[in-house]
Amino acid sequence: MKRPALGSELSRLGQFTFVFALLFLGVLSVPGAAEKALSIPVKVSEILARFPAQSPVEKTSLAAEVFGLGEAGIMEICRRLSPPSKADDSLARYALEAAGTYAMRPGGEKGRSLYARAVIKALNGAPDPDVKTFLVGRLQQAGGNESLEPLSHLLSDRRLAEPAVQALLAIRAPDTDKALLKALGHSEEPNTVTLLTAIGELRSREAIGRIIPFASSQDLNIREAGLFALANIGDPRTEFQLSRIDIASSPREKASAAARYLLFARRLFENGRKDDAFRICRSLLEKCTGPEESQVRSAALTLLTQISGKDALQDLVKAMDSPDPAFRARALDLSLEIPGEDATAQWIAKTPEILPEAREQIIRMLGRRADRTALGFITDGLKSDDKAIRIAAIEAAARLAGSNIAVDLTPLWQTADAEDAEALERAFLSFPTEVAVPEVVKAFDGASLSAKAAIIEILGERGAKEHAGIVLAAAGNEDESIRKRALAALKDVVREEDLQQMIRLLQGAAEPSEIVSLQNALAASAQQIDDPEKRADLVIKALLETRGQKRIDLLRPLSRIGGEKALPAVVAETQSADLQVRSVAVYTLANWTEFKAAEELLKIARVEDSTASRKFVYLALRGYIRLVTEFDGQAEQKLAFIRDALAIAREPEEINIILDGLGRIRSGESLSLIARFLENPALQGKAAQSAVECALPSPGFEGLIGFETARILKRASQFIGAEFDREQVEKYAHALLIKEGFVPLFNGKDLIGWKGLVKDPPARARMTLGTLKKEQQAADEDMRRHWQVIDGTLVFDGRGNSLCTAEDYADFELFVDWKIGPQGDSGIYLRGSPQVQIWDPGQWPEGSGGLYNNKVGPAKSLLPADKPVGEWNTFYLRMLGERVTVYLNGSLVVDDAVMENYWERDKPIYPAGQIELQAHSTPLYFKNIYIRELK
Amino acid sequence: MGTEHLQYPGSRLLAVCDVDSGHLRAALDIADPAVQGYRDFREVLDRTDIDIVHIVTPPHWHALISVAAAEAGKDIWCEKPMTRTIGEGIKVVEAVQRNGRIFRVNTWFRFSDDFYGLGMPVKPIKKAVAHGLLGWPLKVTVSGVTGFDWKFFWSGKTFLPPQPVPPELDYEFWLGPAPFKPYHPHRVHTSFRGYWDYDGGGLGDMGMHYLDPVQYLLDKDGTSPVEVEADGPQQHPDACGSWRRVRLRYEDGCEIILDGESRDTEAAFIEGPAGKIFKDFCSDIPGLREKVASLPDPQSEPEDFAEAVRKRRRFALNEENGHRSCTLVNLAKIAVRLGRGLRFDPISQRFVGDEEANRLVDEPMRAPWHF
Repeated sequence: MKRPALGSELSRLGQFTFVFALLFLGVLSVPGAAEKALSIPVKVSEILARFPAQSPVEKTSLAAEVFGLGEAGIMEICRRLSPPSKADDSLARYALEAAGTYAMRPGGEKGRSLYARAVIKALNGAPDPDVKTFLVGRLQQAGGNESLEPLSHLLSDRRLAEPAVQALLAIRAPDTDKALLKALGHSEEPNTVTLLTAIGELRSREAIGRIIPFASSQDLNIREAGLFALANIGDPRTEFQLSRIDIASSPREKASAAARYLLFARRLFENGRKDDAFRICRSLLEKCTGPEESQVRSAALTLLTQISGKDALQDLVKAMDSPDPAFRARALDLSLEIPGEDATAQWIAKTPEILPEAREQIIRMLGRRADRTALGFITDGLKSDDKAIRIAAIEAAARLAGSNIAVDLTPLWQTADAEDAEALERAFLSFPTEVAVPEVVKAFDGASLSAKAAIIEILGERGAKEHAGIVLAAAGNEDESIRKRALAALKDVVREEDLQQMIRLLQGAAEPSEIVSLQNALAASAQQIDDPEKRADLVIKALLETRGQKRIDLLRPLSRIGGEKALPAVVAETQSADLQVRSVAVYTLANWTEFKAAEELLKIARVEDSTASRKFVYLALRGYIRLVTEFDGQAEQKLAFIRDALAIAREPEEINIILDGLGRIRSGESLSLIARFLENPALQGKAAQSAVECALPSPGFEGLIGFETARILKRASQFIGAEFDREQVEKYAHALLIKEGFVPLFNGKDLIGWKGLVKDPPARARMTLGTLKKEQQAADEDMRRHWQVIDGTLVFDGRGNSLCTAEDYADFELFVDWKIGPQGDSGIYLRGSPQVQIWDPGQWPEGSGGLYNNKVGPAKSLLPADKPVGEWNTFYLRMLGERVTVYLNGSLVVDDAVMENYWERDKPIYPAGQIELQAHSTPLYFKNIYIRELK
Repeated sequence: MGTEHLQYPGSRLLAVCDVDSGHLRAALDIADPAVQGYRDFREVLDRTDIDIVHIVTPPHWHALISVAAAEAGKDIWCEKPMTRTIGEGIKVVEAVQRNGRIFRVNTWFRFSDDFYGLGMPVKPIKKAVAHGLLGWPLKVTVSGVTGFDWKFFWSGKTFLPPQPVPPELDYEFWLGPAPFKPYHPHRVHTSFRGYWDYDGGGLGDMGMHYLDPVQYLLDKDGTSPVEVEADGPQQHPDACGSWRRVRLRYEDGCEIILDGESRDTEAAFIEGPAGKIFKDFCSDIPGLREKVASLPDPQSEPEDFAEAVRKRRRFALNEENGHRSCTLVNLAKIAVRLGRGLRFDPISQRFVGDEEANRLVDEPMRAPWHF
């Protein structure tokens, strides 16, 4: 199954590639000029490998290098494009995009035309439509007049006409319309709609005659495109085609025909045919009277107003006769453009003869016009029996006159219903406090119930402590809506001296939402006492005098009041015989804001640890960890506190809390603690999250560094589900490895640093240098056929040979990520020798990682640690002398075992050699390969 | 589209439309039996009993459907980002207004809720700004430090080998006005935000949520910045990637910094010559909270969409200010893609002296789609 079978297969393949390579060399070595021709491709490869640029400056300098290679260089990059079904060409796409942006920089016209010329040449040579489409896109980005002709050639191509037209519309070279018209054949052509629409967009007058036949096509898409083109061009000779809006079959089509007719009218107006445009607007206003044509009337009125300016006022005023509120609203919106007292007078004069809803709309509009002469009319509305008018008047008056109108609004509080009160409240809240508060206080006694509730809200919003008495009194009001709002407002108006009364009210309250309001108010009042140690006094006194539920109600706010005396008072309650009191006391303590509660919480967690219910342990630990992480101290100090908690935590949810806390303590020691839980299946997801939070940079923190951090993060990344997040963690871990002296063996882009496999070490040793060189060239050709780089991953197609590092390595550490499919089979050769085993754990339950070819020493992995096939695995290998250690996915699977020499059984393993990714007839995937040599 | 999109206060759901028959069926399964399913939005617009449409498509469709809906006389509730390009936004503003329609963009932080990680609503800051407590001009920093995540996980893939289109998806219709590109599942459904053709990564997803309130705070509802510049890795022509920093500057010197790497660890959310406001209403102005409480509220605008439709009143976040906030997103996208500083004219809404950038203001559509 393993090596022997592969040996014969290998030599067979070797012969084949050898023959092939000779032929290939024969072709290449003929012309003497080949070397010169090769230099641009080599340079291009070198530049491409540096894409994508990591900053705008780098983008510019890389693009400048591309331009340094001239037209030939740009064309060579274009040649590297590939249809997406074939290969990953993203580097070439990055490079062409960058070059296009560089070419289009202001003042870069010379470079731009060079770029466009190269792209056009490449476009003519490219066989694939997807590649052509991308190149057309580059002309859309950076093309100019020179692109018109080459793009025009694509207009009859079914697939490319569309991108070509889009590029042409972006470029807008002179005579583009002529090119489009030339391509416009008859209605059977597949690109007719595309071309017609584009001709319409360009407003080509010359096109009219050619378009007219299409405007009556049987094909709906063609007809609509033709009609759109005619409308947008706006030639008076085509009014007949555009005016027939009644023949449409559905309301929407009729409306869209009308919209087209109006577009036509707008173009007529722009072309100086004001009277025709005006006539069309009028006719549509008269004709489109149906309930489904509101938008057509609005659009006609809009254009009519644009045409007539101030003279449209009569039409706008007349629109108020319409029963359609949307049409009236449009007219009123348009009227905002016509200022002046004269207009105001006309609007007011119109109001007696129209519907109340229309009058309401006029009032609102007048509120938005900066003409104070309307104020008298608006304030008349305040007295209206019609509520909608009254509310509109309140809003309009406040908007137009500001707090000057407060005195006129005040009487309305007396009779206000809920909606009036809401409008009045909004109005008064928009006035300065020094006007609003005295006015509403003055009105309070005579106000309606709804008004009282609103006034109390205003006092709360404005924090009117000097009127706390009103709110306090209202807190005992029989009316529920008044009482509720008063209770909610209390926290904003209570004073220090109200504390006793807050306690009394709280002791009398029964309804949960009222209790919460009063607890907030009680805390707000106590917090105003200057001496922090006196804040809790009254509450503690009351607490000791109370029993049952009332005692609980007083307990909760203590966490917000705090102080030396409050803490022991609550701690005492955690010993209560009443389970409910005890529960609330622990909860209150867990919410404590001062660090000194931490010790008590830990004590509770320890004591409760022995009891049956772990609810209190959980609560206490949660509060404890919060206080510890918020504690202003060194990381070591915090970790010592957390270790105490770790000794108590047992259940996953308890450990989760601790992991949360550890994530917020950014130190290597904290990370090591977290790492322990990465191997616990119930906790590894959470542990991974915490490891990321602990180690990665965040605002104000540069991130943890070092080999250990990298190793732990690489392990943690295996438990991060979201692809993007995982990649960020891997990226950071690999950057750390590089800082620690690791070198990437694989650059994620191409096969630089790798070579094909030539036979085996003894066979290679027997070859002459010349033979080896030839064989190596053949093997490299074979390598390029079967090993590809796709999306940052080395992909083997399952049909070629092993992939070898270009260099030899003696003692080293190596990270490598790998993935196989079902029945997949591979391995990592060290010093050119087989192998650290990789195979399908479904077939081989012992799992991967073992030194498969050992005859004397251990050949199997210590334990199975594979991920299911199809998922990524991580190896960490260390080779020192003859001994090898292997970690698979964080588990030790080979522990410092001697690796035997497969090729020459009587000898120890070679002192150095290439590292190989073993091919074994199944598709394979490798990435993130980092090595550090040990010297 | 999520299940919350099937319930609207003050209105009744009559129809759902999706170009993926699987998604359509899933929606109909949980909707009222009377609700009708459609594949083509134009058939929904044909129905005269429908007053309001909610556009929950990928952004490359927002403008086209909005304009078609406005011309069909419907009011519009549109998901963010409002439009994929600045040019499309201009068309939506014109169509909505011309046809007398009510329009809202589906973001709301300018008038309600705590503003993401800032830990407080926008209103108190608006009051502080409007009454000059911070001075002028102002600088706003939107970053991890001030409570906002730029969600770089909305990144595209740079290599998408074509795959067969699943039978339930009408991919041609899904693409609609966007350029044709071979199908790959990562282009559509839950990952489309990673591609410039349809959206703009985290900027597209979160930009309007984060920037509309900023525009409101700076009192810039009727204008746009005059300069934008960006720093970050080069963007792929198709796939959106991450960026480090975007700076938008208005004519009067007000600035918005989008800090993608949370570099300014001491950044205030908003700061002016007279003071700063940080997360959770922390400030270097003594007693700011109390000072702000005593200040008058800003003028209120309709925040109940159903009510705005009934009364024909312009919604608080409408086509006009929505377009200007979306322009912030679209300016940032273009600067990130080009990687050079750009000057913008807020009146003509075109870039000054940069043809490549202007080609991204109006991107041509694939026929038969056009405005």
